[in-house]
Amino acid sequence: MDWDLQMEKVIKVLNSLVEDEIIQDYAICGGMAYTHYFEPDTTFDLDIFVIFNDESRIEVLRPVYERLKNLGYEIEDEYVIIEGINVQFLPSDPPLLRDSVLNLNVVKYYNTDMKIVSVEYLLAILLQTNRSKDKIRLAAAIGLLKESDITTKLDNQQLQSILERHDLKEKWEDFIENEK
Amino acid sequence: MDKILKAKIRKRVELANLPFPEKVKIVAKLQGMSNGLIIASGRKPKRAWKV
Repeated sequence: MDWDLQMEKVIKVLNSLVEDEIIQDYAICGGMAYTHYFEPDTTFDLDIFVIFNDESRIEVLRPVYERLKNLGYEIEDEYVIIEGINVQFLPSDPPLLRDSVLNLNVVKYYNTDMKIVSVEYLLAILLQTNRSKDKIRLAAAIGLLKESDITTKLDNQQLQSILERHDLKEKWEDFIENEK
Repeated sequence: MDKILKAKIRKRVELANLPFPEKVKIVAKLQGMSNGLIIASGRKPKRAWKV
Protein backbone atom coordinates (compact mmCIF):
# COMPACT_ATOMS: atom_id res chain seq x y z
CA MET A 1 0.00 0.00 0.00
CA ASP A 2 1.29 3.46 -0.93
CA TRP A 3 0.74 5.14 2.44
CA ASP A 4 2.10 8.43 1.14
CA LEU A 5 -0.73 8.53 -1.41
CA GLN A 6 -3.29 7.38 1.16
CA MET A 7 -2.19 10.26 3.41
CA GLU A 8 -2.74 12.73 0.56
CA LYS A 9 -6.31 11.42 0.21
CA VAL A 10 -6.85 11.96 3.95
CA ILE A 11 -5.58 15.53 3.71
CA LYS A 12 -7.98 16.21 0.84
CA VAL A 13 -10.86 14.89 2.97
CA LEU A 14 -9.80 17.17 5.86
CA ASN A 15 -9.64 20.16 3.50
CA SER A 16 -13.11 19.32 2.21
CA LEU A 17 -14.47 19.50 5.78
CA VAL A 18 -13.30 23.13 5.90
CA GLU A 19 -14.42 23.98 2.34
CA ASP A 20 -17.88 22.57 3.06
CA GLU A 21 -18.01 24.40 6.42
CA ILE A 22 -18.35 21.21 8.46
CA ILE A 23 -15.53 22.59 10.60
CA GLN A 24 -13.97 26.05 10.80
CA ASP A 25 -10.41 24.84 10.53
CA TYR A 26 -7.99 22.06 11.45
CA ALA A 27 -4.30 21.49 12.04
CA ILE A 28 -2.35 18.25 12.10
CA CYS A 29 -0.64 17.74 15.44
CA GLY A 30 0.73 14.90 17.57
CA GLY A 31 3.10 12.25 16.30
CA MET A 32 2.58 13.04 12.62
CA ALA A 33 3.34 16.73 13.19
CA TYR A 34 6.48 15.66 15.03
CA THR A 35 7.33 13.38 12.09
CA HIS A 36 6.81 16.21 9.61
CA TYR A 37 9.34 18.47 11.37
CA PHE A 38 11.72 15.87 12.79
CA GLU A 39 12.45 12.13 12.46
CA PRO A 40 9.76 9.59 11.56
CA ASP A 41 8.35 8.38 14.87
CA THR A 42 6.13 5.47 15.82
CA THR A 43 2.56 6.65 15.84
CA PHE A 44 -0.60 4.80 14.94
CA ASP A 45 -2.89 7.73 14.36
CA LEU A 46 -3.22 11.11 12.73
CA ASP A 47 -4.24 13.61 15.41
CA ILE A 48 -6.17 16.61 14.20
CA PHE A 49 -6.90 19.68 16.30
CA VAL A 50 -10.20 21.16 15.21
CA ILE A 51 -11.97 24.49 15.62
CA PHE A 52 -15.68 23.90 15.11
CA ASN A 53 -18.23 26.25 13.62
CA ASP A 54 -20.61 25.83 16.52
CA GLU A 55 -18.72 25.23 19.71
CA SER A 56 -21.80 25.59 21.87
CA ARG A 57 -23.02 22.16 20.75
CA ILE A 58 -22.57 19.40 23.27
CA GLU A 59 -21.74 16.88 20.56
CA VAL A 60 -19.30 19.04 18.61
CA LEU A 61 -17.92 16.10 16.68
CA ARG A 62 -21.27 14.89 15.40
CA PRO A 63 -21.29 16.90 12.12
CA VAL A 64 -17.79 15.63 11.38
CA TYR A 65 -18.69 12.00 12.06
CA GLU A 66 -21.92 12.29 10.07
CA ARG A 67 -20.12 13.71 7.05
CA LEU A 68 -17.39 11.09 7.20
CA LYS A 69 -19.89 8.25 7.60
CA ASN A 70 -21.75 9.59 4.55
CA LEU A 71 -18.47 9.41 2.67
CA GLY A 72 -18.25 5.72 3.59
CA TYR A 73 -15.68 5.90 6.37
CA GLU A 74 -16.03 3.84 9.52
CA ILE A 75 -15.74 4.89 13.13
CA GLU A 76 -13.74 2.58 15.35
CA ASP A 77 -13.44 3.56 19.02
CA GLU A 78 -12.10 7.10 19.09
CA TYR A 79 -10.92 7.06 15.45
CA VAL A 80 -12.42 7.56 12.05
CA ILE A 81 -10.66 5.27 9.59
CA ILE A 82 -10.10 7.49 6.56
CA GLU A 83 -8.41 5.80 3.58
CA GLY A 84 -7.05 3.17 5.98
CA ILE A 85 -5.51 5.71 8.36
CA ASN A 86 -6.70 6.13 11.97
CA VAL A 87 -7.72 9.77 12.34
CA GLN A 88 -8.55 11.26 15.72
CA PHE A 89 -10.34 14.58 15.85
CA LEU A 90 -9.55 16.60 18.97
CA PRO A 91 -11.53 19.69 19.93
CA SER A 92 -9.04 22.50 20.48
CA ASP A 93 -10.64 24.06 23.54
CA PRO A 94 -7.56 24.61 25.67
CA PRO A 95 -6.10 28.03 24.75
CA LEU A 96 -2.72 26.69 23.58
CA LEU A 97 -4.32 24.16 21.24
CA ARG A 98 -6.76 26.75 19.91
CA ASP A 99 -3.93 29.19 19.30
CA SER A 100 -2.00 26.49 17.47
CA VAL A 101 -4.87 26.10 14.98
CA LEU A 102 -5.40 29.86 14.64
CA ASN A 103 -1.68 30.19 13.79
CA LEU A 104 -1.27 27.06 11.72
CA ASN A 105 1.19 26.50 8.88
CA VAL A 106 0.07 25.57 5.39
CA VAL A 107 2.61 23.37 3.63
CA LYS A 108 2.46 21.35 0.44
CA TYR A 109 1.95 17.61 0.59
CA TYR A 110 2.66 16.75 -3.04
CA ASN A 111 0.15 19.09 -4.75
CA THR A 112 -2.24 19.37 -1.81
CA ASP A 113 -2.27 22.05 0.85
CA MET A 114 -1.79 20.51 4.28
CA LYS A 115 -2.54 22.41 7.50
CA ILE A 116 -0.25 21.66 10.42
CA VAL A 117 0.68 23.24 13.74
CA SER A 118 3.92 25.24 13.56
CA VAL A 119 7.08 23.77 15.00
CA GLU A 120 7.02 26.41 17.75
CA TYR A 121 3.49 25.41 18.80
CA LEU A 122 4.42 21.74 18.54
CA LEU A 123 7.24 22.19 21.06
CA ALA A 124 5.02 24.20 23.42
CA ILE A 125 2.29 21.54 23.23
CA LEU A 126 4.78 18.72 23.92
CA LEU A 127 6.03 20.69 26.92
CA GLN A 128 2.54 21.31 28.25
CA THR A 129 1.19 17.79 27.69
CA ASN A 130 4.30 16.36 29.35
CA ARG A 131 3.66 12.61 28.94
CA SER A 132 6.73 10.37 28.81
CA LYS A 133 6.64 10.18 25.03
CA ASP A 134 6.20 13.96 24.78
CA LYS A 135 9.32 14.51 26.89
CA ILE A 136 11.28 12.08 24.71
CA ARG A 137 10.10 13.82 21.52
CA LEU A 138 10.81 17.25 22.96
CA ALA A 139 14.35 16.30 23.99
CA ALA A 140 14.96 14.72 20.58
CA ALA A 141 13.59 17.80 18.79
CA ILE A 142 15.75 20.18 20.80
CA GLY A 143 18.81 18.03 20.02
CA LEU A 144 18.08 17.98 16.30
CA LEU A 145 17.42 21.73 16.14
CA LYS A 146 21.02 22.28 17.24
CA GLU A 147 22.24 20.69 14.01
CA SER A 148 22.89 23.39 11.41
CA ASP A 149 21.88 21.29 8.42
CA ILE A 150 18.42 20.30 9.62
CA THR A 151 15.73 21.65 7.29
CA THR A 152 13.33 22.55 10.13
CA LYS A 153 14.17 25.95 11.57
CA LEU A 154 12.89 27.25 14.87
CA ASP A 155 11.81 30.85 15.32
CA ASN A 156 12.98 31.23 18.90
CA GLN A 157 11.34 34.64 19.34
CA GLN A 158 8.03 33.13 18.27
CA LEU A 159 8.54 30.19 20.64
CA GLN A 160 9.34 32.45 23.59
CA SER A 161 6.26 34.54 22.85
CA ILE A 162 4.07 31.40 22.87
CA LEU A 163 5.65 30.15 26.09
CA GLU A 164 5.11 33.55 27.72
CA ARG A 165 1.44 33.78 26.64
CA HIS A 166 0.70 30.29 27.92
CA ASP A 167 2.65 30.50 31.14
CA LEU A 168 5.18 27.87 30.08
CA LYS A 169 8.42 29.85 30.27
CA GLU A 170 9.51 28.47 33.61
CA LYS A 171 8.63 24.92 32.60
CA TRP A 172 10.68 25.35 29.40
CA GLU A 173 13.68 26.65 31.33
CA ASP A 174 13.44 23.73 33.78
CA PHE A 175 13.23 21.28 30.88
CA ILE A 176 16.29 22.76 29.15
CA GLU A 177 18.22 22.74 32.42
CA ASN A 178 17.37 19.08 33.08
CA GLU A 179 18.48 18.13 29.57
CA LYS A 180 22.00 19.50 30.10
CA MET B 1 32.48 13.81 20.05
CA ASP B 2 32.74 10.09 19.54
CA LYS B 3 32.56 8.87 15.89
CA ILE B 4 29.63 6.53 16.50
CA LEU B 5 27.58 9.27 18.16
CA LYS B 6 28.37 11.67 15.28
CA ALA B 7 27.27 9.03 12.77
CA LYS B 8 24.01 8.48 14.68
CA ILE B 9 23.29 12.20 14.69
CA ARG B 10 24.04 12.39 10.94
CA LYS B 11 21.56 9.60 10.31
CA ARG B 12 18.91 11.30 12.43
CA VAL B 13 19.36 14.58 10.55
CA GLU B 14 19.14 12.69 7.25
CA LEU B 15 15.85 11.13 8.32
CA ALA B 16 14.54 14.45 9.62
CA ASN B 17 15.30 16.10 6.29
CA LEU B 18 13.37 13.58 4.19
CA PRO B 19 10.23 14.89 2.46
CA PHE B 20 7.14 14.28 4.60
CA PRO B 21 5.58 11.73 2.18
CA GLU B 22 8.72 9.57 2.53
CA LYS B 23 8.46 9.84 6.30
CA VAL B 24 4.80 8.74 6.13
CA LYS B 25 5.93 5.50 4.45
CA ILE B 26 8.48 4.96 7.23
CA VAL B 27 5.84 5.55 9.93
CA ALA B 28 3.69 2.80 8.36
CA LYS B 29 6.66 0.39 8.56
CA LEU B 30 7.42 1.43 12.14
CA GLN B 31 3.87 0.47 13.13
CA GLY B 32 4.51 -3.12 12.08
CA MET B 33 7.77 -3.25 14.02
CA SER B 34 6.18 -1.66 17.07
CA ASN B 35 3.29 -4.10 17.05
CA GLY B 36 5.79 -6.96 16.78
CA LEU B 37 7.33 -5.84 20.07
CA ILE B 38 3.92 -5.26 21.63
CA ILE B 39 2.75 -8.77 20.70
CA ALA B 40 6.02 -10.29 21.95
CA SER B 41 5.43 -8.64 25.32
CA GLY B 42 1.98 -10.20 25.53
CA ARG B 43 0.00 -7.00 25.00
CA LYS B 44 -2.75 -6.35 22.50
CA PRO B 45 -1.42 -4.79 19.28
CA LYS B 46 -2.60 -1.35 18.23
CA ARG B 47 -4.60 -0.85 15.07
CA ALA B 48 -2.05 -0.24 12.32
CA TRP B 49 -3.00 1.52 9.13
CA LYS B 50 -4.68 -0.89 6.75
CA VAL B 51 -7.08 -0.64 3.85
